Amino acid sequence: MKFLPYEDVPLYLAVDGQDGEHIFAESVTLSIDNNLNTNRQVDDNLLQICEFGSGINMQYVSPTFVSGVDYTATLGPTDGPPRPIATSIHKIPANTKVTFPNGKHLYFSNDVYPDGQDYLASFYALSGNWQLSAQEAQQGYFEPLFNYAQTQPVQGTLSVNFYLNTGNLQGFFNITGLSDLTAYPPIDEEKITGYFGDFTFSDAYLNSLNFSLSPNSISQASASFMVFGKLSKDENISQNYYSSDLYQQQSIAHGEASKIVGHTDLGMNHPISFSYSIQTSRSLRYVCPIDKNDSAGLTPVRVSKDSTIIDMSIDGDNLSPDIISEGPNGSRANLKAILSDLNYDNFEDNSNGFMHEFSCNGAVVSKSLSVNSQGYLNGSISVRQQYM
Amino acid sequence: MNISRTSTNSFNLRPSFGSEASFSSINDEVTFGDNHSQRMTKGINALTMSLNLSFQGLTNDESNDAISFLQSQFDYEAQNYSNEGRFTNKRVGVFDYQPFYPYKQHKFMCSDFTHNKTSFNNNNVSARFLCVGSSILDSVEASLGHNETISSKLTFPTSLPSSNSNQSTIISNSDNFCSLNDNNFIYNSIDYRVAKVQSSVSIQEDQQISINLKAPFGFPDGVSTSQHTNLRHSIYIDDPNDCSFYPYAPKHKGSTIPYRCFDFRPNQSISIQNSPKFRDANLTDFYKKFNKYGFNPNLTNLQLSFNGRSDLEAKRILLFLESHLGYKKFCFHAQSGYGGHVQPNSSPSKSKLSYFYCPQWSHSFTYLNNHSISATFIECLPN
Repeated sequence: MKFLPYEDVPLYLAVDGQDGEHIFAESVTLSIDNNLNTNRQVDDNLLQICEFGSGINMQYVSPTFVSGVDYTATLGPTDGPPRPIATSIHKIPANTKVTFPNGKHLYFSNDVYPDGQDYLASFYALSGNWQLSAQEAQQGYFEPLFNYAQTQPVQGTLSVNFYLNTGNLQGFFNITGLSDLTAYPPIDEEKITGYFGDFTFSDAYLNSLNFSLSPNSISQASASFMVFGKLSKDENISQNYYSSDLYQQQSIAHGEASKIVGHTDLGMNHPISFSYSIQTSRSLRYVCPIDKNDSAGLTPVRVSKDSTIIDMSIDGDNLSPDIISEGPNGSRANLKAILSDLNYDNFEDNSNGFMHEFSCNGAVVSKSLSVNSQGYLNGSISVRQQYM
Repeated sequence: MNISRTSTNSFNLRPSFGSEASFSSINDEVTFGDNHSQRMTKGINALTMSLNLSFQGLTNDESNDAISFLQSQFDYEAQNYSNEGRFTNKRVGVFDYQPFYPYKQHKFMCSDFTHNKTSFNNNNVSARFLCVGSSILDSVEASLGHNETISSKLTFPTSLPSSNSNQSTIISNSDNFCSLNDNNFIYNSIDYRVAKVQSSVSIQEDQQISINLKAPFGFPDGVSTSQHTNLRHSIYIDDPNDCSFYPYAPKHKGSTIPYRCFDFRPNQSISIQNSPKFRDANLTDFYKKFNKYGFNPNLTNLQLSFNGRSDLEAKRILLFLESHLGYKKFCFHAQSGYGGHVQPNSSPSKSKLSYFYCPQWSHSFTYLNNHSISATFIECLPN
């Protein structure tokens, strides 16, 4: 047994048709859920033999079984007409036991893959000198391997934990951005391509971006993508990661130099941590194939954005005393999170100071005030913006 | 909605999964005593097809185009008398449409449609299309045995031994152009041995060709009939030659059945409703006498579902039902327990074989290689 080793997390993302970037990732997970159902059919594990032979005249005459000899049987009700094995069955492995009443057994001689035309089957017995009556032959029970049918398209989820290490939020992490500034309507539906490890994908769509920040800590973000279509493997592609710019000094957002703006209007003097989340819900358009050679239906022809919601939560020292009494429409808040790195002067590369700004201008959806045994008043507030 | 009239005569949007095709036949029926009956389709256009289609996730432009097109079929036009001697402004327009697998392109009219705008630039349109101008005369399907007009006659000069591997053999064709696709089947006329075609071949009449077959139980020399000719035709289904059926009269008790057998198994839970016929004499409203009806008192109606079927199996089921035109009888295996019994005291009024006709069925394309078909089977007597 051998595990495939990777040093670091080789992840590359790009907006379709554009240059991409290697990601400073902590971890990557691709998971896939498959909705499969069996569809059992009437009497699909009931074996009925109407003739021992290849189905010439439907006259049932039982052989006197001899151990180890193969017997061809025609399947179906007594007197016929013959009936093929159920198509709900994927496979009947060779040596599958068929149990008849009165302690009698036969065994399938060969693997059978039912295709709707299996009127005949071959059996053998382990013991000899016995017969199977016509009535017993209608009551054979066996346990096959059943088919599964896909009920919905296959969809994967790519989850990435990474560090925001640039001043510009890349297009593939920017839910509200536009790949083509001239596009109308101005809603980005471009797909994202890339690879992680040696596995490439070409149909991914960003669903959510989250990060949080607190004093004296770096900010780690997480993003989630919907993934469709095939993965392909290229054993050499991950080598590109190890020669990328990520192995030079990186600038990472840090709570020490980052700021929150807009909290004082809420009665909070000193925010100590915040979290930010932007999520979009999407609709998928699949179309039916029109003939047997049509590959439509495997991947969506359109992945559109339905609504985008921004949530921002701040924890701090206090809150406005009007915590409950604001009236029927609540109160509004306009918050900004300004991310900065530590801005060391004695490093030349990637020492930028200001990195990026995230804003949330919406309604206050929850507040809390608490005091614990350590004796400090803590306030927290959550704001939600319906962006789209 | 800003209707933009276009010169196109076709509707090009592909439907989403979950769309449905429904078929119904309009029959005349005469019922005699003892539940004997005869039925016949009312006319050559009496087997109708309708599509319930959904188009999900359309952009504003796509939905505008779709609704404009569908609305414009009913637009008022100024009166115009053509050189052919008729008014050209009266009829509702029909258009070409290619439905989902396994149906062929046909002419349709749209009788009702709905537009839902779910979010900015995201629209759902659902529509009901009626197929126009289809005829049962377009159904060309051999019934039982060899039909010199539309079947081909294949001769195997040598027998094939039983083997699970491919075998190559020479066959000749003496009737009609035969076109065999891979995964078609050739059936032996003497028993139920079959040979599965491994690679597509075409055999002209009076020609011979090498063919690769798989015959796990062997295949005897001699003559076999095949439905797979270029004359085979379906009203609604594309490429009927993908489907193979046992072409001979089904064998039963040393003889044969004069109808084809519906060999597909419905889903596991069938509800078989029994409402036997009887005679009751209402002498007063509180005194009744119940008497037996006579022969054949208990004919059943079945509502059957065939879910989770592969592309090919769904096509075979649909072609079988279509080729019976909504009124022709076929033999169907009821579930075990209803199929007669070898015990001598089994009910004589319930024969071991059941015959049905199917006047309506519907097909839903659930997902790739996953189809659902529901059908109404009405039991009838064989003669």
